[in-house]
Amino acid sequence: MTDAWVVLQASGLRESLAGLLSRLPEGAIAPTVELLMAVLKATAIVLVIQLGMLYSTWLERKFIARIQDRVGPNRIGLFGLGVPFADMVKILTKEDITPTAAHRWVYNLGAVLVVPPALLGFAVIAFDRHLIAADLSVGILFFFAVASTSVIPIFMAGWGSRNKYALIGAMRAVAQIVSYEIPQVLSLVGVLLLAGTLGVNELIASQGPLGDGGFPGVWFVFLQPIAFIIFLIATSAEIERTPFDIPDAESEIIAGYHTEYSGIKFGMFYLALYFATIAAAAIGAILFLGGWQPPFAFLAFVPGWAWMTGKTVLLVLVFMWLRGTLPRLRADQLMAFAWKILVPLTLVNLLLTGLIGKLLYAAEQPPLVVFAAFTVSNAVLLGLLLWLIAWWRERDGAPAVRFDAPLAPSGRTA
Amino acid sequence: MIEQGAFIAIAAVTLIAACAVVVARTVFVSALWLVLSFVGIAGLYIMAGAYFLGVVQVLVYVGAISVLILFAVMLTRNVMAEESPFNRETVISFMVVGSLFGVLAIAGYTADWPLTHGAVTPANGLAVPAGTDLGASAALAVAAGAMPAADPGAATMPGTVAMLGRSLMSEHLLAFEVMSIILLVALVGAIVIARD
Amino acid sequence: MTAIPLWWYLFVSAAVFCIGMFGALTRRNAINVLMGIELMLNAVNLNAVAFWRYTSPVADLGADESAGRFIVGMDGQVFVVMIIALAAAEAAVGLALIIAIYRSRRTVALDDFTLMQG
Repeated sequence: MTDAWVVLQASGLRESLAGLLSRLPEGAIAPTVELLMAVLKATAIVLVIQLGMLYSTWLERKFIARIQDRVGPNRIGLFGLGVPFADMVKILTKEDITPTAAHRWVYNLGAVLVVPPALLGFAVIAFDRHLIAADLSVGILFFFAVASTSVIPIFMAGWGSRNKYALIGAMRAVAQIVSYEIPQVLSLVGVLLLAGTLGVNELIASQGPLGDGGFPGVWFVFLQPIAFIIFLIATSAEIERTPFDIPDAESEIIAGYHTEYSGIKFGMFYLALYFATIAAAAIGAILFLGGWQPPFAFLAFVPGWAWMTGKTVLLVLVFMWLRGTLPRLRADQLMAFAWKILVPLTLVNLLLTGLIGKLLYAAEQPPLVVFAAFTVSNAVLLGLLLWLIAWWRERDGAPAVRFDAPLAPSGRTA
Repeated sequence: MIEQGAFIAIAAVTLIAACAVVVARTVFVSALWLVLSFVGIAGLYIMAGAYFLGVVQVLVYVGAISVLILFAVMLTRNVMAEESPFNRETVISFMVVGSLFGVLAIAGYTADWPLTHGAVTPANGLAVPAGTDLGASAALAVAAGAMPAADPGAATMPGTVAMLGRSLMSEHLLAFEVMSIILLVALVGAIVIARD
Repeated sequence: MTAIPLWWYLFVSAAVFCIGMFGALTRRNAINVLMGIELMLNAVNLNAVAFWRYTSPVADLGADESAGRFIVGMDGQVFVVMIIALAAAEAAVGLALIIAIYRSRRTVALDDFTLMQG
């Protein structure tokens, strides 16, 4: 099932649809065909990603179990492969409780609307050269714009529950998401500067060797490793995975903004989390790891979607690895980390990337010089990161913003 | 025809959401309707072919300004539920606003606007792919500030986003710099005003 | 030929502007007034985008029309970018003011902001 086969099938499908719709007036056939094709593409994406999401829950439980020196689920199906379906049945059959004081419309809509921002991002993910649902000229920006709308359902869930603790949990979650959006987007502006485009396929093509060449011809992770690390950290915080999962951690304020949800409504929050994880891994693979490109041209016989899937699974495993290994950050540590460490670092990265790109690339220096310059600038950034972390740890006893209620029996207030 | 239907649908959603913003009893609910109207406006930008602006509208308005408004709603909750959400000047406001709308609508319909391109279709005119060969039109693009004059690749067209970027950095550079200072001042000012 | 005439956009823009103006003039809660102002700014943006689309300078790719035309003037889009940035700045400062007033007077009803009256 190669790329060319898909293109052939798609054009054949268009022709047969046009034939089916030949009764319509002349000008309306082409737009209707496009509309039906879009619906089919959306259905295909939802089906494939849904399956991926189900098995990512299995992978998470097995992988984290192994990290924690236990086996994980192994009863249902071979190696526990039937566990996602058992989870589904459990969530669907739980009693669906709605608190009487809850604002019904906002409460229910909040649970429903939490999934679309996570799922819409898949429209611009390229699984192969032509396996992209919507090849927008502003694809990357579309992904992050849609991801940023995930804040509104959190507010709706928190306010609609009419629960003080859900409200506090929602405000903390929103503050976290909004704070980490800045380093997340800034870290990839360096990549966009080098690639010179916002479109997904052009971005992948500029990472060579199967693309149309252009600068730089290597995966961006080699030119912007610090930006890659910052992107992974900031995205973990965006999708609220450990070590940034204060909003829904078990030992925190009950369950944060989804305290009052049970049954399938809670299942929606769970779905959205895993969709967002896969989407974040996919966009990270596109931006930094070359998307559907193989690392070397002689490996091109392996189809592009296999490379893309492999890279996405690799990044999903990295997210799960972070979850299984690191302890949770406190609310004030989390905010300080975003504003005091990540934002200055990404700004310096942007400055250095712009300088090197403009001075060296525009002057058309040989690639080795450019590569060496990037290595030097990344070493500078690494040094800056370590210095910032050391500086922060020195002042760790004086958090600037307190989010939690005063707990110390000494009576110290916020 | 499908295009007109899509426009009418998106415009209807936007107008209904805008009406709901001003009529809703609870502040939170009117904030949610405001979010929907922002999304509707983004849809209208995309219908007009300004794809970058549509995405920026969602990113900035829905992702940031709405969050600001919702935070402010959360932090200023008071019980105003018994009284009417409207003040006493409703009737006069309605008359003024209605006549303003009449004037604007009639002016929009009957004025002789200097249209330049009814003939541009979205497929070939708006999202110009990067690398399109320009030929003689390069001079016109340079004159409009969309491309630098000494661009070695002046024969090839930058994409629409690149044209916007160049325009911001060459012809409208002063406005761009002033806007960044305004944003800095607003940032510092908001922090100082809202601090304890 | 594009199917949507310019005056459709101007009509929607005028309608949203007037609805926002009505909200800004008649609501008692200060945050609702700010929402009306945001609606007005969005309507102006829509106007600017519509005029960019229909009245910007264009260029032809080839000798005749069938080769395609494209828009070369980006002034309308620059207006919109500036207005969006300005609206964000104004919303931030305005909401900070409302929060500060709420802290000292526990109310956001505009009828109660009478300290400087008379």
